[in-house]
Amino acid sequence: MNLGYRNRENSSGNLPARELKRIRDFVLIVIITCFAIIIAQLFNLQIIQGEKYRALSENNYMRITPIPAPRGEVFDRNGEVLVTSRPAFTVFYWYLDESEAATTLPRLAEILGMDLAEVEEKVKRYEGRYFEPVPIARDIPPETYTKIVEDAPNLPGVFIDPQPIRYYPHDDLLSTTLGYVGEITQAQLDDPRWEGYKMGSIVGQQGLELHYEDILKGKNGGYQVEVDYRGRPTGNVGPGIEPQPGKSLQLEIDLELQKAVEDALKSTLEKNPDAQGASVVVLDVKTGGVLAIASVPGFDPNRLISGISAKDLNQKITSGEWRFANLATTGLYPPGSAFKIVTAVAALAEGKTDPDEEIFDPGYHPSAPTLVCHRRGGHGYVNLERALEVSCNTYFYEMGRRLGVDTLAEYCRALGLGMKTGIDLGGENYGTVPSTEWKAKAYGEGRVAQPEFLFSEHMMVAMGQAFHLYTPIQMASVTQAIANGGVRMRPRLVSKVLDSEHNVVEEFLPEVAGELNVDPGVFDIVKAGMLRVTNEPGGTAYWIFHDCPIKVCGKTGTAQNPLGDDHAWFVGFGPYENPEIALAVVVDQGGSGSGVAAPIARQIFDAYLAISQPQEAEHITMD
Amino acid sequence: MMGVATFIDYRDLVWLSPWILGVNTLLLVAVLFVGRTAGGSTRWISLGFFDLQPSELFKLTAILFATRVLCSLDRPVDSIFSIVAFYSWLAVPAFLILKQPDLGTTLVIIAIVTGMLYFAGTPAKSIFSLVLVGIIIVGLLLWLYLYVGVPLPIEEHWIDRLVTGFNPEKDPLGKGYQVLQSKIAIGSGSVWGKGLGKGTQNRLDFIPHQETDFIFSVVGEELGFVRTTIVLGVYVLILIRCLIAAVTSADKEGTLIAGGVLSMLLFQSMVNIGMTMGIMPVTGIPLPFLSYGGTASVVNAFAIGLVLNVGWKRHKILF
Repeated sequence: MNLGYRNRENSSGNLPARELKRIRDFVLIVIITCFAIIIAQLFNLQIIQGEKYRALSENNYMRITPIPAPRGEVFDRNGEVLVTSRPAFTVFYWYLDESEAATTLPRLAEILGMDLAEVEEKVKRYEGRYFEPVPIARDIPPETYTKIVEDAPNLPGVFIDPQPIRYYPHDDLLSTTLGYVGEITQAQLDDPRWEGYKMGSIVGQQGLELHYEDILKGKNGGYQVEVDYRGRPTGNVGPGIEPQPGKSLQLEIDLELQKAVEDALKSTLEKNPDAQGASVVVLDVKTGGVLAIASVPGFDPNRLISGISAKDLNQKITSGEWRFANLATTGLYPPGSAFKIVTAVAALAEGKTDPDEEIFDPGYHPSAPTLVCHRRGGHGYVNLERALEVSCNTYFYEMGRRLGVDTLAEYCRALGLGMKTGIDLGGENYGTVPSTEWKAKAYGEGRVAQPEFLFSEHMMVAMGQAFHLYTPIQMASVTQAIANGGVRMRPRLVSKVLDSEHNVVEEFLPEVAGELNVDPGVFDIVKAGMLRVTNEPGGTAYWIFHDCPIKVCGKTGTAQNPLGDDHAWFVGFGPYENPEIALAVVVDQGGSGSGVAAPIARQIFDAYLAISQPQEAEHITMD
Repeated sequence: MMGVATFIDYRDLVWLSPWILGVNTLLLVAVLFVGRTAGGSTRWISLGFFDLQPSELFKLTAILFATRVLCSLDRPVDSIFSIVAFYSWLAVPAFLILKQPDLGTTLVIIAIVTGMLYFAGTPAKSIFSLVLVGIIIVGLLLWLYLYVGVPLPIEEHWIDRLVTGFNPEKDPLGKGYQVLQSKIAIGSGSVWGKGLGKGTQNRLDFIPHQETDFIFSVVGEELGFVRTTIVLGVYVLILIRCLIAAVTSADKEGTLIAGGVLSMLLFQSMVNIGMTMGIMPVTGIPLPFLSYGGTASVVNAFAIGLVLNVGWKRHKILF
């Protein structure tokens, strides 16, 4: 930019002296006027109203009593309450001064049965914000309430206020998905994501409570109140704002189905003490709505919220009684034979085989005899549908040899494996889709295994054994996509946002997450093979499903686990003719898919039938 | 910093100002990408040992560049068209600073440049009509956005801040409470104050942010009316020193630099002190020399250094 600025050595000529004098006088007047106004106001505040303000500052304090916004509730698809709030007595402390605190706090700690150090720590955290009351204990029992009220004269600054506290009517049901709430941590306060939150705020700490925090939280209100030197409100209330209640969530979850799922998982875990946990995801095939999602064991959010001692909590976690991780979205498992449905889709779509081609299984793959089939003598001649029915390894080794791992990986990704499904929950794991590129990176120089993909590994990958790691929700999503003709829907927990009068303010519509564009006949053949799993006497889940009132398509998996027992899998959907629900079941170190996971799936389908077609189900049980 | 500023010839800085403007604008752009966020706005670039605040730095840049622009013109800026043209270079940096969002600093920069227009010889009448037109335009835009629903690139919470800033009663648990507490603190100082470190309002931390924006309430509470007036007198003395440097400067550059620094200090101290006493909006403008702020301290020291520099180079004595 050339502004025609003069040479740097030559200064610009200044304004004429007369002009400068005029400027000088004017600016001088401006400065003096400004400061005269300031000093006038200073005089007004300090001299004229000085007495009033001195009294306000010495005898009375204006403090702020916060009124927390009622947090939104969570309902299932039929309006059953999953999360709500109830009133609970909370003990607050208004800091007066050091000497008052020194006598009051020990007394208060004794009544509450808390360590003095703990109470002092809580008060200390409010340093810098002493105009707000410090919450000391939440949800105190009635005896404690009486004690504090009786001892009130000795407890200046202490007051009790009913505050809403989160309540989960079904205890640990759906716990890892619903999550829990808790006081905001220091780390969160330092994080820009929690901008605008105040210390002591109760916020979502996991699951839906965290993911939908902005919708659930509402807007806190409060009032300026005048208190006397003992911290007692004088009754003069200053200006304030009413809290705005948070909005509620309506889920796709069906409470009855969820109960059936968790009951089935819990009884399975009781029968298999070696199993480390179990997870189920049930999806609506057409919409992707999550009808049930379970991760067992979970935890009891009610105990967590009313205050569990660090020792008890630690004991519950180390003993494995409580688990906070949501296995459905974070648990990574090799899929084992349940993966064969993906290989089947890939092989047909790529034209590497056709439904009529029969492959001879002598019990091992002829070009790699160390790769054996699970049936020692082999399955003889098998086509694709039969191979799915009996879960023939040799057939799929051959498909792996023909496809190669990289082509297979493309189909994995197209069906949503190895990526976040996009469920509205957060914290999902990605998993691992094996490919030559992936292995070169993961087993680069200096590692034990070779970075090249071995011939036998191409074959093993096709039957779900080597390197694959997927979450239960990914496997449920793949199954849903196959049932839905290749159209994968984004798994969705929340269908509607409701205001405090239960009017719908926002609706989340089904979304397509991905589509695998292949000849629709491909899915028909795979579905037919999956139907044989449960309907042909040779099928791996025949004895579990042979008397099921609807036709279910399924696939079992028994995934070898180098760290312990096998993981038991079942993926499937039904009814065959017009699929409504798709599910994935995994029992962590539970044993065989057909023996452990398939019976759980059967119970879920039965429960689903009882819910969706009550008369028919009754009719069947009467037979 | 003040020393450094006195050793440099301010005319060299004016010469270099297009480059300084470029670098500072780049820094403001960098804030968008690598800025550190605190208190709801992204203003700082973390240098490890120091958090640089490019918007604060821009106050100096604006003084230097405006000096260069005004010196390179042959005639005084007096027609409406030339005044608008004069402000045009501010558009991009002001937008970047508003986006952080930092309304206070944007206002300070506009105040600096407008004050300098006056020192360049633009009649006060033109400047007042300009300020009036500016207020009308901003008001019209807000009215269009809020009541007519014209989509403008404004974020809702900026307006919240603006509204509660001018009207703290709308935010009784935040700014309204701060202003009330600040007034109680100052008022309770009475004639002689409570003594240094003995202010009860501040000791109990009843005033949030007392280290930064509300520092003057501590002064008022602890020193009382008599001594606080003396403190205000010191500000008046500093401003008058700037004025003397401006009107006695040997060259136009000196006049404009000292005038710019004067405008900056006067505007900031008025808005800040007025805010603590409830007669100005809560805009987050720091009090020069007393508020805590790394970049701001450096900038203020440098600005004073420039004024001293101008004073020493004068040849004409007017007073």
